[in-house]
Amino acid sequence: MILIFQNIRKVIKVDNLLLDKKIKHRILPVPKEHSSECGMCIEIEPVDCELVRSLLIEQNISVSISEKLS
Amino acid sequence: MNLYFDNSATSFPKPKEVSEEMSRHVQSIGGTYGRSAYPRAIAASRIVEDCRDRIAVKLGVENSGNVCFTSNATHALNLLIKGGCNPGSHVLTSSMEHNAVARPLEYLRNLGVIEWDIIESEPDGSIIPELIRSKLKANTSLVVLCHMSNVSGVIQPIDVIKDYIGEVPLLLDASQSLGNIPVEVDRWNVDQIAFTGHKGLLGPTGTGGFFIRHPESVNPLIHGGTGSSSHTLSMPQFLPDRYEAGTPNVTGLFGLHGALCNAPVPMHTKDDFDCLLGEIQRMENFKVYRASDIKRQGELFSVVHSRMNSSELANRLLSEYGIEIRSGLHCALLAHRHLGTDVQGTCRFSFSPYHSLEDLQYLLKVFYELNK
Ligand SMILES: Cc1ncc(COP(=O)(O)O)c(C=O)c1O
Repeated sequence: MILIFQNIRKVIKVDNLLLDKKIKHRILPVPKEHSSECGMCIEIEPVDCELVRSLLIEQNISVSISEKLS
Repeated sequence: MNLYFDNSATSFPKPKEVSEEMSRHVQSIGGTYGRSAYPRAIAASRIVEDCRDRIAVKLGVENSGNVCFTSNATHALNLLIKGGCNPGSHVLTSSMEHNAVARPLEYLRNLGVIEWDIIESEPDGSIIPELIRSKLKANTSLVVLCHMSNVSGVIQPIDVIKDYIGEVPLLLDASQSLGNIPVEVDRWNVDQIAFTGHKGLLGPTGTGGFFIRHPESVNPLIHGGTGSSSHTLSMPQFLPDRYEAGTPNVTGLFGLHGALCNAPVPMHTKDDFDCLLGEIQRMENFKVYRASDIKRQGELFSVVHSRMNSSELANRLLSEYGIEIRSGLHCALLAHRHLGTDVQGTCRFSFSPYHSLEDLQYLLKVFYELNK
């Protein structure tokens, strides 16, 4: 699953949060299919999706979550 | 010995981690901020964001996402003043302002955009809070105040002043205060605050920024690439991107981060400073410009000598005693006008945590000699 955020600040915040919670993830370039942006996104395992979604709601961080293409 | 007494211009020395972190960015990390996804850019962006969070702690603000970086306090103040003053509005300010506030206000006044007035203050520059209300007009849209004067060191009581200002947004210039005295933006309910990285925070030049509580009321000053919302030609509405077009000073922010993580334990106490000031005040050939209440005194002050003008005094301090200070008007015409020193200027002494009691004692000895 791919998490796409408004800006780099949110990516770093969420990266820290997931490190803290020991949730497996990695930072990737945003895939072309998702945005014209040149920035970063975060990939997580599908099994963690609901947990991450609720963490982000708790932290009031808006995100768009999509299936990984390609 | 540390004979550099011009820390209000820019602080020296810095924690060693400032230069170490800057060279770490230049020599090994590299990487831009917020524009790519390879490890260098992630590592660089991580430091920038941690720096933002640490600044928020220093400022006493919870919402660190509304802290934005600029190249210095002047840039931040220009952004907030020019971006926030609507045509026909009125701005109130203090008698102790730096030109970083006074010149943007005067620029807007000359363009016919705003009117501005000065709040009355005591001879030492302390604002008289009770007199604020009589100066507020129906169209007053901003109050801009220097938190701690760069000429006399007088500190304004922001929490009291805020009560008298009411709902009108308050912009604080914390260039001299942040890093030197407590700043509590949330508790005081300050709306906007500008800071610089290279003075009390002990970071490198070229760093600074601001916090803004209600960004919808202030337009960006600079437009350009942010690494976000690139599909539209408008600036993003969200922060910090709205005010951070262009590649930031990543190397400088590494240095500022190094300073924030390694603030030194002061080598002298406020009491040591207060005693020094008290002794100098008793010397008959020096007139001291300072806060009349020592509790409202930051660690800087100005003097005028009865026989030497300010540049002569500064030259003697340097050539005979190796002491580096700044003479003249300190980019603060309004403050010098208020103190009655706008013709001859003053000599300003500004301190840092790296001054030991011995350094202060040496300075006092020099004052005694020059008082003869
Ligand atoms: C009170 C005050 N405001 C603003 C500034 C401007 O700071 P900077 O030169 O870092 O923009 C200074 C610095 O001299 C200052 O003392």
